[in-house]
Amino acid sequence: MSARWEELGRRIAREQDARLGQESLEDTRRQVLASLLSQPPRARWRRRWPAYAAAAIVLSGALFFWNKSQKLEVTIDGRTLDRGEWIAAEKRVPIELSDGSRFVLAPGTRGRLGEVSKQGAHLVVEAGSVEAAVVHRSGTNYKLSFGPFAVDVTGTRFDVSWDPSEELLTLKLNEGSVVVSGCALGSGRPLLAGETLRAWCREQRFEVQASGRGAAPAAALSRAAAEPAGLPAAAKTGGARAAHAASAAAEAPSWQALAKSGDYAGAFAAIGPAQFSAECERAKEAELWLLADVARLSKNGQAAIGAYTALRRRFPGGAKSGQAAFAIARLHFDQLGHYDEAARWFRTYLSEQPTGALAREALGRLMEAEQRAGHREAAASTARDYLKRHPAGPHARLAAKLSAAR
Amino acid sequence: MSRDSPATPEAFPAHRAAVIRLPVGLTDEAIVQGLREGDREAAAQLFDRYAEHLRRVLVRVLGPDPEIPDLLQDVMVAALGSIERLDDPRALRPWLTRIAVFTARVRIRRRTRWRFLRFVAPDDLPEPGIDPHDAPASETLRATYRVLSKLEPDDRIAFALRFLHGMELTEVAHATRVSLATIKRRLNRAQDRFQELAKSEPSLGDWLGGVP
Repeated sequence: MSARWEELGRRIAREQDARLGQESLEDTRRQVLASLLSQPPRARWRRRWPAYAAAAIVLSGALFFWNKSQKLEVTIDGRTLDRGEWIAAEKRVPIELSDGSRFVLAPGTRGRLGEVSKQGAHLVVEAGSVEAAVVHRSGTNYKLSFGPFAVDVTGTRFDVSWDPSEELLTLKLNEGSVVVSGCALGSGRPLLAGETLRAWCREQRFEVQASGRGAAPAAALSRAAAEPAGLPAAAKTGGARAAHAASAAAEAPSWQALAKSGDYAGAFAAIGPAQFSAECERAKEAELWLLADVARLSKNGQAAIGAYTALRRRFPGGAKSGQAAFAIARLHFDQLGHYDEAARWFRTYLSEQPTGALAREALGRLMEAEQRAGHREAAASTARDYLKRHPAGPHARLAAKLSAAR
Repeated sequence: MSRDSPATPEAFPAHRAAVIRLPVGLTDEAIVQGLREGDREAAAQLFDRYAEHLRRVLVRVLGPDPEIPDLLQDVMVAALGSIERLDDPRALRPWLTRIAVFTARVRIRRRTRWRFLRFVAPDDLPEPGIDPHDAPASETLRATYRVLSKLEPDDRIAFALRFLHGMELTEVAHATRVSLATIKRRLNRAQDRFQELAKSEPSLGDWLGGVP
């Protein structure tokens, strides 16, 4: 008997260990050590340790939320840098952030610190070069601006320079993925690890070159070629780019691998907003469901809705189709605040799967959506229906209140 | 003894050796002493030695969870902030394990509250972080944690530490700060309930067939 339990345990543990083997602890290590850097000097720290200890132990749950609600601290040589401050680097200047991220400005670089939030910061570079190492966390959102170009970062290492006289942006991506937008790059071009981008705004063109083994020749593209048109990238830009993309993809983690590791924002960036729709048209059912997860869990509600809608259109009547309707309703309700749309999709789920596993929740959420959309009579009617079907359900209290309201 | 033995300095990857400046073979007592003196290198050593173990404890108890890296960070920060409370520096590993178990328990309770507030059954939408392409293995994993999610948190923790993490009963009792008798009661309850709930999980059928 005990052997069977242990056998099950070993099986689960093996699978978990295989997954963990692919996930580095490096980011967490940097964050933990960075949190020490932001602590008060030792004497004060030691004098106050009982308070810290009590807070850490008793309020570890609160700490979790607290960590997430604090703005990051930005420092240069230990001095706090405020929003809007101008930085003129006469030598190599490291900018440290309290989440462990770091930007090193090369001599001669000029820039300004923009918005700082709990999830990232905005660095505006007028001219010069930056070495960036951004620690990935859930919701990480860093932005670097260079003239008309912008680099959106969720967690990565790269070197970037901006030459305003030539209007030339050069970005070499060492790890992770970023999305570069603006000027010749249109609404966004994802870059993968090992790729080097050179973009000339004045000439409205850019090139991406993969490095390392099996590097493909540079692909030079005009802005027209970079704009999405709902077609697969390879089909649109020809064989050279397809070979290049394949080469780069072999060196960088795939979006599937990033999703599997829980890095949904990274996975979404790796697909690229512009290519997401095309990917939804190509993917098989299971992969399409994963795409929807990636968008949903990286808080890209509209993209997630697009993926669930594609799933319902391409695989109608499948087991997942009804769940997709429910998921769309939830996204409208939870992420977008579109209560009328949420109600419509909850009704869709209920009409398709009136006895489905989610029917009770769908009816309760429908009632909530109608109430929030201001449809009091409809909400009261749904509430009465809910009480009749699920008198002890989790929405019963709200249903009783709404059904009694006039 | 649990399935993951403590990392030894010799086990560090070669590429990391260049940045570890503490003497090889530093004892737990020396790490604790270093932490109490505010030595940041000691914090790095603590992380390198125990982070993997603590991450596994969290993963065993919680299953697939995108918050694991953040929770691990919480455990480490809590440990660093309360190192003065550790009476016996030789008991560093079980003390850290206890913090990880406590953190996981808070997370389970928070999930439960969230589920109540959102009125959504977590089983009905896909678990994050699971790749549908290795479906057979993943489904067993998913089904196991679906079943575990229906257990009482304390019973679930006892089950996960004993059977998934492979800890001895005494270790489980220490990590959860209860007596051996209590742990045995929790395990019995968890096993009975798990077996009953597993009947509705096809992917656990093969395993269930061997349980009398």
